[in-house]
Amino acid sequence: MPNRDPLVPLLLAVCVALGGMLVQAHGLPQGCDLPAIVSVAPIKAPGFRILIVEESNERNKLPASQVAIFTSAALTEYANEKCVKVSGVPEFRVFDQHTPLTSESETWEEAMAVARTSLPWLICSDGRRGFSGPLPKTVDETLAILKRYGG
Amino acid sequence: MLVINDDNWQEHVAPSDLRGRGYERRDRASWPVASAPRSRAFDLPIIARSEWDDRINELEKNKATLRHVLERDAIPSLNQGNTNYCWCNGVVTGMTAVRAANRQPYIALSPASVAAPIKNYRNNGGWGGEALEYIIDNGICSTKHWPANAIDRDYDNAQSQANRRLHMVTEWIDIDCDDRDCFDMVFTCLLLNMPVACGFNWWSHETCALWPVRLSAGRYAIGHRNSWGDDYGQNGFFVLEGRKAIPDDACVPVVVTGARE
Repeated sequence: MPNRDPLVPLLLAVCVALGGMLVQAHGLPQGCDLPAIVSVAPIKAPGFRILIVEESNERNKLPASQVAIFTSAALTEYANEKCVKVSGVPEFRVFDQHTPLTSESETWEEAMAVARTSLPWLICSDGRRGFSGPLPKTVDETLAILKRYGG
Repeated sequence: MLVINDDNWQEHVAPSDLRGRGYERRDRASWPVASAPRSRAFDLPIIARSEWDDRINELEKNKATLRHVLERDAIPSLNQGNTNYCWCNGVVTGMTAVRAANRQPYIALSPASVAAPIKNYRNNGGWGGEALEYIIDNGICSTKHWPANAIDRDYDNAQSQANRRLHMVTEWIDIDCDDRDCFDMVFTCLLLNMPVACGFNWWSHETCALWPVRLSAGRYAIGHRNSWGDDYGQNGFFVLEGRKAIPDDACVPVVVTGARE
């Protein structure tokens, strides 16, 4: 007779949930093609937001295609269209990891506090789900991730 | 695009040109490179010239230079009017570019709120590092609290002091312009989208370098924004070429505070 213990599905569900929490807490290894999808949004505030965290003094170590992401027209235009606006300004920021957030909202302080394992780091969130992982190497790859969450 | 070079530069320093300038030759004996308390010497690896074309192509293809950013956001050029505060306007242009690259909301910042207190409310010249040191320690006001060119103590009040603390620079790089690699250092910064406030002895003027320019194969120049309003050049943008592109003083605002009004 097969084991019909009613606890088995419950234990499986707990294992899957714990695995998801581990991925969320530690991200995925670099080079992994799977997105660091998290069912819990990296930014709790409602509305689609994008944050890139970088180290200005180490831009020279990045490929040219990645340096161009920060200020690219395609990303800016996408963010202008898709991101929620606060006082008319799209909620998209590119911050150095040492940027003091003098009078920025708590939302950005919270986003800057999300655990990172490398730089530059990409975070996007719609308040329900989102992405938190290494910034891809090109504008197109970055937009592909963002469009999964921001449409 | 207006290009100033070794052949035509004298047209741009004519005595009839009454627009404000004010860059004063930096006294390197009193102020050696990176001697200002908040500065550090240029310490980034210089990007090899063999990489320049590819990096320029990538920035141009993606419309990702600081000039593209300022144009896309319709951020106007500063206009220093009759003040001798170009040395501060150049730095503030750079700070504005960093904020725009951060995608922070545009705030018009007041060069006079920095330059006037430094010069004890006199309309005197200076150099970029003076402005950066002050901004790191004290911040800079928005023009809502201190008009851009107002040399007037009355604007130094509790409200403006609170406002200036919102807008600060936290790191700046001092480039050694006596180094024979000075041009390549400035170019490296621009390839990395770091603005460089540049003072020129030949012009007695300071402007802000914003983007790397390739004029033809192996011939490079530097794109700047002036502080003479949008009527100058192309919306304030112009290009310096040849020896005229090599600054006598150059400083890089690296990180600015994140702030909205």
